[in-house]
Formats: sequence, C-alpha cells, structure tokens
Amino acid sequence: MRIPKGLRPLRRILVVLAVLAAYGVAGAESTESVKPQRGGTLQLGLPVDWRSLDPAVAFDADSVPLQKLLFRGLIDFDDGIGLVPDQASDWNISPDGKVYTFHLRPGVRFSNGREVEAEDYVFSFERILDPKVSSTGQTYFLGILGASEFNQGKAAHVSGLRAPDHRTFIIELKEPQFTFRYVLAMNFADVLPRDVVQQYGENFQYHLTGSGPYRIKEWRRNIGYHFERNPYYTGADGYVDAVDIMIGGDRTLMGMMLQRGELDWITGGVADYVRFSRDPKLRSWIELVNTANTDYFFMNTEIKPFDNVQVRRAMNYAINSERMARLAGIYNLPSHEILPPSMPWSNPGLPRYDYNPEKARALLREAGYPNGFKTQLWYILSREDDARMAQGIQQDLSEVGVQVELKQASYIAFQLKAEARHQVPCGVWGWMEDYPDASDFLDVLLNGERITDTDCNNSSFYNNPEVNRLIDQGNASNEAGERTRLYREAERLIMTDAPWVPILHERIPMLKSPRLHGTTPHPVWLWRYQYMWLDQSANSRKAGG
Amino acid sequence: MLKPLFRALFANRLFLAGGGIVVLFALLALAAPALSHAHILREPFKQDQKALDTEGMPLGPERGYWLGTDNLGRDVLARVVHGARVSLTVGTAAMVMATVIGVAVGVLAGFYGGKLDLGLMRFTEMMMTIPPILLAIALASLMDGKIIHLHPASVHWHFLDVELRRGMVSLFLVIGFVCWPGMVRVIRAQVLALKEREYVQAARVLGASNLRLIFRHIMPNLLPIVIVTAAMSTANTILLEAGLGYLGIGVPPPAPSWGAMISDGQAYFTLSPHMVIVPGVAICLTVLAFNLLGQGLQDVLDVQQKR
Amino acid sequence: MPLRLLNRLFWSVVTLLGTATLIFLLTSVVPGDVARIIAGPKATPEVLQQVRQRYHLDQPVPVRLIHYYGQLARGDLGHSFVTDQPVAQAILTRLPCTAALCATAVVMWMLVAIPAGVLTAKYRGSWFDRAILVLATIGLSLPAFWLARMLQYSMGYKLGWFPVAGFRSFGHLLLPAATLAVLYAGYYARLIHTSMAEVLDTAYVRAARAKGQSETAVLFRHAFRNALIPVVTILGMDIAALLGGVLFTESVFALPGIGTLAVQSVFNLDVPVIMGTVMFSATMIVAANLLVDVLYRRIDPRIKAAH
Repeated sequence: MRIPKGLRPLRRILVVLAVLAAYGVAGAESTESVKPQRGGTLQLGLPVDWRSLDPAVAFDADSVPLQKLLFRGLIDFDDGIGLVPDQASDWNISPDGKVYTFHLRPGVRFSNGREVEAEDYVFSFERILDPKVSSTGQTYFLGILGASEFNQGKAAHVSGLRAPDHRTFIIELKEPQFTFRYVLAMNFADVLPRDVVQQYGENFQYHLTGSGPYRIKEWRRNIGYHFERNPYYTGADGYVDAVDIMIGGDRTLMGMMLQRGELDWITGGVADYVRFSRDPKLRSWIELVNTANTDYFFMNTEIKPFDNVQVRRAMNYAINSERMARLAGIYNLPSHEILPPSMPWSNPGLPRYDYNPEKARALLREAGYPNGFKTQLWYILSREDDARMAQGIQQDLSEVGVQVELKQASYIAFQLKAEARHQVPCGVWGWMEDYPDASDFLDVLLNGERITDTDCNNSSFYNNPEVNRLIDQGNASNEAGERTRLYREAERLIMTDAPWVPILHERIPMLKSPRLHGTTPHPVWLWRYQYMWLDQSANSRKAGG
Repeated sequence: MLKPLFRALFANRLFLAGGGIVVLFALLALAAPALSHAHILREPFKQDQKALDTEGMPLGPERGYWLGTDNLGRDVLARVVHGARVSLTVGTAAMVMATVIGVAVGVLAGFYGGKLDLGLMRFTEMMMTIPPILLAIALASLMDGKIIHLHPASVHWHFLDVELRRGMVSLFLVIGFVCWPGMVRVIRAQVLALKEREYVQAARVLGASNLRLIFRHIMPNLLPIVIVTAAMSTANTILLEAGLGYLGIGVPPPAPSWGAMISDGQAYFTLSPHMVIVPGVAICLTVLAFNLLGQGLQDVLDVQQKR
Repeated sequence: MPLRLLNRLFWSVVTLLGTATLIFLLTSVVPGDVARIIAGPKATPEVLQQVRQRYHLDQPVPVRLIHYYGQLARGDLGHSFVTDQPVAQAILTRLPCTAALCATAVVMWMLVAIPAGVLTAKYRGSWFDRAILVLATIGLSLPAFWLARMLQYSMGYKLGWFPVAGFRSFGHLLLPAATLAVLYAGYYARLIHTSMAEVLDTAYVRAARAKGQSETAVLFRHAFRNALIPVVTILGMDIAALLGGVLFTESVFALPGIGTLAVQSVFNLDVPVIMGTVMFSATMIVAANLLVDVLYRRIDPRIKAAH
C-alpha cells in the first residue's frame, strides 16, 4: 500500500492471515497493569484530513482506527488477532462453514438512541455491495450468497443476508470461506442505522451515526473534529470523555504543542525524535513503532539507460543506503532487500550491493556509459523524508557521473505518473504491507504479469518470466516451506536483476504525553483509541504549560 | 550636471546603507563560485556525513562551519552566499520585466488616453484584484513539466514546444508578470502631468511626432520615478521569490534558495534554529537594503510616491 | 450620483468577469488529466467518463468558460476535487477565523501606528522621526513566514506566553495578529505621518492654532481627523486583501483560515479551490474599492466639488 502524506500505514486483513508478528514496540512501557481511568479529553493532531469517515468508504491508515470510536460491528479482534464478540452476544458457524448466525446483544443503541436491530445489519451489508456507494470493501463481501446478483442489479436484495427477527442476523455464503470471519471484524462490517442513512442518502457522510462509544459533535473539514460520548453506549471501553482532533500543522508544530500539553499523541519528526531522546525528561515520551515497509529507489526498466541491468546494478553500488536511511531518520533500518525484516522470509542468499562507487563506475563503463548519463528522479513534494533522500541520491549518483534532475510532484500527480508506462525514469517511493505475506510485495509490486499501461503498481515495469512463474507458484502453494523457497528464489532473482535500490525499512517515532496510557500498538488496528486513557493526576503539567 | 546629484546621494545615509548592502551582496554573489573554487568557501551542494552529528542532525556553528550545517550536511554559509545568486538574479530579472511592462503600459495609457487608456487601465485594475502571491502560486504550481505545443499536431516542429518547467527563468517570468500592475498608476499619473508641461506642449506645436514626444520628452523625465519604483519593487520581487521557495515551488532543489532553506529548516527549528535564522536574516538584509536604497533615492531625486 | 454609482458598479462587474476569465484560462492548462485527479488513480473508465461529463471536461474551453460564468452567477464556486465539499462553503467556514485574525491585527497595528504617525508628523526631522522611518522600513522588509516562525518559537514555545498554534480561543490569535502587526505598523505610521504632515500645513490647522487651542486639541481634534481619511481608504483596501487569505501567517500558525485553504489547494492541485479563493479575494478587493469610493464622496466634500 502506498502511504500518502502524513498517513500512517493501513492494515488490511486479507485472505492470507499468516504469522502476525510484525509489530513490536521498542521500549514499550508496561502501564497496562494500572487500572484505566475515565475522563479527560484526548487531543490528537493529524497533518491532513481524510476523504470520509463513512465505514463503508474510508480505508486509510488514519481513519480506520478512529472509526472504531464511532462505529461498531458484530465481532472484533482481541488484543491480538483472536476474534471476540463485540455487539453480538454470541455467534456460531454451521458445520459446513456456510451459515453464520449472530444473536445481537440487547440494549445496544445507536448514538441517536434507537436500538440496533438485525435489519440494520442487513441494510449495512447490502449498502457495501451497492455499486452507487462505491465501497472500498465491496470485494470482501462478494462471497455472500446472492451478493454478485445484487451488485449487478439483478436482485433487489442479497438472498444470503437475513433477519428472521430483530435480534438474529444470518449470513449465508456461497461456499465455505474460512477468512470470512475476519472480514466481519473489519470496519466495513460496522452497523449503520438504516433510517438515518436513507434520510440523508449521499450526505450521510456529514451526519455519521453509529453504535460506537462516541459521536461527532463538531466536524469542520480540514480543520478539526470533536467527538463526545455516545450517551447510549454500554460497553466498557471508551475511557476518555471526548476526543479532539486538530487537522493541519506540520510536525515541528505538533512537537511543540505536545510538549506544551496541547496535544497528547503525534507522529514525531526526525528532529523531534532526536530532541526528545536527548532530554532525560522527554526520553520516555518516545515510542518507536516498527512497520513492515520498504522505501526504495525504482528504475523503469523500459526507459534507457535503465533497461541495462549493468546500469541498474551500478546504481545499487552507487547509492549509499546506510546514508540515505540516516538522512531519512536515525531510527530507520537501512535495507538491502525487498521484504521487510519483520516478514518470516528473511533471505540470507541475496546478492548484496554494498556502497562502492568505484565498482559502480566500472559497471557503467562496461555498460557503455563511461561518462555517465542524465536522468530525472521523481519524488513526492510533501514527503520531507523523501526529499532528503532524493537529494542524497542525487549527490551519490553525481559521484559516479550520473546527472540527476530532481522532479517534485504532488502525491496524486506522482502516483498517476509513476504508475503509467514510459513516464518516470526513476524515483523514490515506498510500500507498506497490507497483509504480512511476501506476495504483498513480490506479487503486487514486481510480478510482470500484472503490468498495465496505467495504474501499474510495478513502477519499474520489471518483467522476468522466471520470477513471474516463481511468484505464481508461491501464491498457489499451500505448503509453508515450499512457499518460502519459491519466494526466496524470486527475491534473489529480482535483486540480481536489480530493478530497485532498496533504501530503508521505516520505523515511526510516535511521541506521547506522559498523561496518556494505553497506546500499545495493535496488530490490526495499529492504534486503539477506545482503550487510550488519561492519567488525570498528571494534568498539572498542562496547566503549568 | 550629475555631480550635485552624486554629492546629494552620497550625503544620504539611507542610500549609502542600502546601496552598501546591495553592492556587498552582489559582489558576494558574483564571487561565490570563485570563492568556492579557491576553497575560501565550501561547496554549496556538497553533502558531508562528517558535517552531521552522531545522530544525523545538523551541526551548530562549530568545527569550522561558521554558520553551521543543514540537515543534509551542507555548509549553511556556502548555501546562503550562493543563495544570493538565485535571489538577486531572479529578483532583478523580475524587476526589469515588471518595470518594462509597467512603464510601457503606463506611458501608453497616460500619453494616448481615450479608449486605449480605458482598456489598459481596466486590465491593470483586473490584475490588481488578484493578490500577487496568490497569482504567483497559481502560476508557479502549473510549472509541472507539461509541454505546450505551439505548432499544429500534424507537423513535428518540436523546436516550438515550450516546456513549463520550474527553474530560474520561469520563476522570474512569473514574478515579473504579477508585479507590473503595481507600477502602472504611478507612471501613468506622472505621464499625465508631464504631458501638460509647457515644453512638451511646445514640442507638439512644433510638429514633433508622438514617438519623438515619448522618447525625447516624456521618458527622460520619467527616469527618476522609474528608478525609485524599480528599487522598491526589487524588494518585493525578492520577497516573492523567497515566499515561493518557502512553499516549495521556487527553483527546484538542490539549488540554494533562501526561502527553501527556511522551509527545509523548519522541521529542525527546535533543535537547530540556525537553519531558519540564517537564511531569514539574509532575506531581511537584502530586502531592507533595496527598501533603504529606494527611500534614499526618493529623498534625493525628490519623487513623490503615490500609492 | 446614482448614475455614477451604477457606472462604478458596472465596471466592478466587468473587472470581476475579467478576473474570472483570466484565472479560468490559466487553470485550464493545469498539467495532468484533471478527471483522473478528481476520480483518483484507481478509477474505472466509466467513472472517469462520468467525471468528465459532470465537470464538462469533455467540452472545448470556450464552452466550459460559459459554464463557469453561469456557475459564478449562481454563486456556485464548484466542488473541491479532493474533499468534494462545495468551495463556497469551505471559504465561508474559514472566513470567521481570517476575519477575527484581521480585526485583531488591525487594532494592534493601529494602536501603534496612530501615536507614532501623529508624533513623527509633529516632530518632523527629529531622531524619533528618523527612528520610526527606519523601523517602518525594517517592518516592510521582513518575510512573513520567517517572522511568524521566529515569534512562534520564541514567544510561544520558549517563553510559553502564548499558544503555539491552532485556533481554539482568542488567545490563539494574538501571536499571528502580532506578526501581521509588526509587518504593517511601521507602514501605517508612515502613512499617517505623511497625511498628518499635509494637514498640519493647511490654513485650517493654522487657524485653529491661532485661536489659541491647545496643541493636543489641534493635533487630535482638528488635524488627525482630517488626516485619517486617506489612511482609512488604504486600510479598507488592505483589509480586503487580507480577508482574501493571510497565506503565510495562517499556515505557520495552523490557523483554519482562507490562506491555509489556498496553500493546501495548491499542493493538491485542487483547481476549483484555487479558483474559488482567487475569485473570493478579487471580489473582496473590488467590493472594498467600490465601498471606499462611495464613502469617500460622502465624507470629503472636496471630491464632490472637484467633479
């Protein structure tokens, strides 16, 4: 998944739920033994607004965790990836794995006071499948009996969704699908009040109503949000009284505001991370979060001179990944591989290109470019870290005689250009895993069979039939050892062909005020704001400024 | 004839202070490549890992870096001095462009009057309704590598292609284009006054052509006000260049632009304030110098600036 | 009088139409496929086609221009590409913040500028007069984004006297307003100075003095009132320009005003918002022009006589 400006990674729970061990917190505190306190206002700062908070539509890393404050569904993940009933009192799956039956917990109400009924679930699920809503989650629900017919307009209702009474909700699938239970824990499956949605139609996004612990009191686009308690909510979570979200403002600003007690929880910048780590009083405010991401320099193998494998290898030797990773932030891990180290595919047999400008020059001479060449390097203007890396790469390449012109673009413009054929010779980009599986990198980004003229994730337009075959086999295989072997071999071949220069695996320096607790990252939701709480006795700091 | 003028100028402290700084910066800008070549100044593009501390953060004023280093390990002093090249070149070129357009429009409108005057002044007024910075941003953000074909699609005269690319040229064109309307009124008012002067009327009666009237009698007398306006508008063009650089739509990196240096440094402000303070002071000094120069010239040339 | 007013009104509308045309033509060359920017990178061809139809992108430029005029006549500034919010609504929700900021700033700088301007006019040529002149020139030379950062860092963060950023209370406006005040106070002190100096030389003031009125009464009751008229004119224009968006100050302090909206829209290539903010700002300026013109005639009988 690509990460736009300021947005944190989004996890998609997909079909491949392998080992979820990607997330750990460096130096995590163990405040969880303390009993959470209720009350206070949680103050959050986000750099950009999101398109929507509608659970059927929104699907980005910042809004998904926030949706859990407003919307809830039948089941949820526990502290790990186990499933527990949320607003269903109990559930069972028929022995053939096709029929899911849920009994709704009585007394669960929407924030407008009306009780949640099984018909609301039928309506909410059908809404996802309604092409007019253009839900990002549509494909996950197509396994329901009659879903495709409804989606194509051939049926007025989805036959597999039934509400025999107000308290019972039944889902029937076309065929057994083990992972469907995880789909039901995703934000798409949250329940919406059918009367309110019907009343506002397309404008529902401005009148969001759900059955979560909070409701929107104030919302000003690109300015801020204020969530207050849903007075009808009966669950135990939702510790703070209100959530205040400020939109806009750069990282330095947020660092200052955090320190002055005006914010509680922010993504820190490079400089703030170092500044906090140097100050004994502030050091404990840092939480370094691992992500499963690779930032890389891609070369378009269809554009000269990057069609030449020697040139691409020369670039690998010329670019000093260690230095680039440091330029982006001291906490990042330099990368010499495609898959992030958190994935269980670590690959000892990879060809390694350690920084060696001499060798790079020699390779360029061999390739027929003794005097180097000129090219354009594209990057996203709003990503400060990328801007530094791009300038760093520019200097490293000039050392071996390659003259780079830097081209900046807005996020959307960059994506449109980099994903189209014959547009961008090389550039800096990153990929964050959607699900913890090697195929999310190798298949999505480097499988030549997936190349299209536009919207192509394979921005190197790298196409090696041997690699494609290995990836396809890996995708189809069910045997863990076999998959590992196939993917490792594919990664090795890719690194030999060198369509990328891997640069770094990112870590996110989160900064939090000392009064905030319960920030342990969750493997799926990343943050669970509903379990964050404020130590009221630590409030004195705020008053003192 | 010029002697008393020079004497008056050199007696004016504002002119001296402003002119002194401008000359100093101009000399530094001119000499920058030579200074770097002679190793008196470091290279403005050279990223040195040793010029960052153990945690990859910029150095303060230490280890021979007089004004510290930036977040990529480049010498801030070298970048500020080389930045003067960008700032002064773009600022001056934009000023010349704005002045040429502004004087042309002002003279045409004032001299010919009538419908031409009405049309030109309406257009000027229209341009003035858009705040310059907003218009400059809108224009500069369009410089995104799009190629405009001036030739019909059927023929392949690619030498007629214009690429909207970012750089010093497009930057001064944009700034010059948004700055000229501010000059027109002053020039036009002056032309209207000059037109009624006796010697101009006399020349007209004697049969001088319009062109001759404009170039022989009007233009020379416009000179003082044009000089003063030009000096003051250079202050504006430099501020605009810094503003666009700050927003990331000025000259593309790694060119050292003062505005861009400030925006690079912001994220490090709480840790290394020098990254923001130094280029900021450079902008202030340069703009102040041009403003003082304008003030001084105004006093000496006895020009009344009207808004 | 009504005829003149109608005439002025007519030309105001013409000016705005011209601005609309200019900004439309400029943005219609925006790089990239606009439909794809609106619909998002993963849009299907059908969705793209729908978007093209909805925004009339499939039609030639003149037709789209006519559509744009029609839209403007209905007060519709279009919808944001990014958030799909009506642009007019986006501007209106941000207007209170910008207006509050401007009002605070104007009060601040006038509180400084009025005494400074009056006193320097009274004691012309004194050290105090010179000092104010230099300070005013310095004020004019500061880049807003830099000054804003410096004040934010020192007064907000280091000393903790003011909130650092955001807009939650009136206190949050003090630092941004102070930034604007520093930039404008000196300039207004000079304006008041010039205007006062003229009035102080008139027979009217000399008569008041001759009648034996106290100097304070002469300065403030007689001279200042008259001197204020041209200043208010310019103030009106400046406020209009500020309402169009205080770009740098707002974005540094993360204030949810029209200026930040403009900056954000540029980075997102959100063309309707860019056009909307430009049109809004142009309308404010044209309206202020009109208002000032009308009021001026009411207040100052001399102008009436002149026509």
